[in-house]
Amino acid sequence: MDARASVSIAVTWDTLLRESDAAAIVTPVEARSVWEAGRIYTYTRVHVDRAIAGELGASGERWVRTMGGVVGKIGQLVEGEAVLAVGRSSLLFLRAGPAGTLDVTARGQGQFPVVADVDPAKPARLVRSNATGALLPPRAVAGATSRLAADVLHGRVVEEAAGDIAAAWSRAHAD
Amino acid sequence: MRTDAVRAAVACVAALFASSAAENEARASCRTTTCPLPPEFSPSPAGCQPADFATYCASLDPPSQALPVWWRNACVSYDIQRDASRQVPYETAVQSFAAAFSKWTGVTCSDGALGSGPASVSVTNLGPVECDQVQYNSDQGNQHVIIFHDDSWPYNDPNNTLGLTTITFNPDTGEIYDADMEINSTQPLTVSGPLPADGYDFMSIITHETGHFFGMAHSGDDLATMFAHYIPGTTTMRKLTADDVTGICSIYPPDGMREVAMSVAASGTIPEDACDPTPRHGFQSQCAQPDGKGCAAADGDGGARSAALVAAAALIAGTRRRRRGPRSSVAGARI
Repeated sequence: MDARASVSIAVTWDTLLRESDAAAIVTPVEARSVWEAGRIYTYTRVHVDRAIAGELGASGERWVRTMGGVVGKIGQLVEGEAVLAVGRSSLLFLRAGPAGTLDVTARGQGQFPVVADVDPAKPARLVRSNATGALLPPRAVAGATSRLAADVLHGRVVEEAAGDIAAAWSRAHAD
Repeated sequence: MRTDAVRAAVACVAALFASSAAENEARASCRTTTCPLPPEFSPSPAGCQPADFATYCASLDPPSQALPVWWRNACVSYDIQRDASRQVPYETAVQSFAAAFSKWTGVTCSDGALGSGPASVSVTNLGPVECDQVQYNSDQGNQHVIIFHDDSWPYNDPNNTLGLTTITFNPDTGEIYDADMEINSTQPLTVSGPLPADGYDFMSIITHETGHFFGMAHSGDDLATMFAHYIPGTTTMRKLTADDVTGICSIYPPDGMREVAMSVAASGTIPEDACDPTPRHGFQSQCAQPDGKGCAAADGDGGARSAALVAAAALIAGTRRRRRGPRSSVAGARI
């Protein structure tokens, strides 16, 4: 259920867009954890508050799968997974998982919690997730854009970020 | 000689000054807890958890307690999957992990009133194992296995995750039951020789991961091995800092006690169990065999089946909930 033990390469903006099937602001509604082949997985039912890009189907709710959770008297921690807490909204980059469920692209790096400003007159913003495990910068690739997704979205007003995602999505999924 | 009375007195003094000390806290090391930190929170020298953490944990589905995790036994084992990796041959892996673990178990703790000495945990390599899957079995033997994935990464993040540690624990106490580590060796790692400027140092990565194996969380100290960011081309994470030592000694102090939440033991401590590195429910080299009794039996289509079952159960449960109000979540088959 917790997330404290992984090492990952920081995901770039281009990669996060390219490897996702959809992006949306969602709010978790409930969670259920089950054993699958010796591991615990948690399925979280999320309400899709705002579909930003890609295909999420007609339903206003989807199930998102993450590793770790608690089943009865046993819990499992898998660091670097997205942390989906009931009632707390996030922008999620999503990809198809098993049996119609969704996985969070790049695990915790595909989650950007929505944080309200202390001034209620100001709009909510996205922040980078710290539930990502230890992060390493990506190796430089000649000719490639190396902006990190977290650098692009952290601190952005939700409305502005949604517009940028929608615009960049078209380019990333052009072919 | 350390006594419970001394420890209790220290705990009382610590509690008395906890709020003021937090503002000037020099120690940045943090412990992994059974409740996930809110993703927007980042540990810092000012604190390992947000102020409202207990409330946050209680609001989760299912509600959780923020208990630190810990190994009860004085001796813990690990095993390396016998195939190891093309990048890291078995013998190299044995030597590398022995070195990484020994950095943590070889520290000398210096803890004022509670005395000084080695950390009260040791680690034993039980040898190569056949099992190449992360799993915890409540009805069969286990192994704390280290697995390299050379050809494909079995999770949804093949291009980003380099190392993954899965810790299985008792959610009522925080006691660690099992820990398995996976290395994504589809990605290039620098195991020996000169470290390129953009290279990922294998020893740095596994020294960090073995810290998690013991229950260490990320530190707010940017010089610590347990800091959450690594600078490519560097080897600094190979060497523990004072902050790392403080962290491991707080979990496994020299007197062999385990500091736990008051809800776990009224004294706030539990004595370690006598040295026995055997995994919970016994040691076995092979992966567990499917028992065929429930939906969690280990087979290749478990994910799809469980997802379908969860979705179906949720539809039914959601209908009932709307009629009857909230109820507890579904329990799985194997614990």
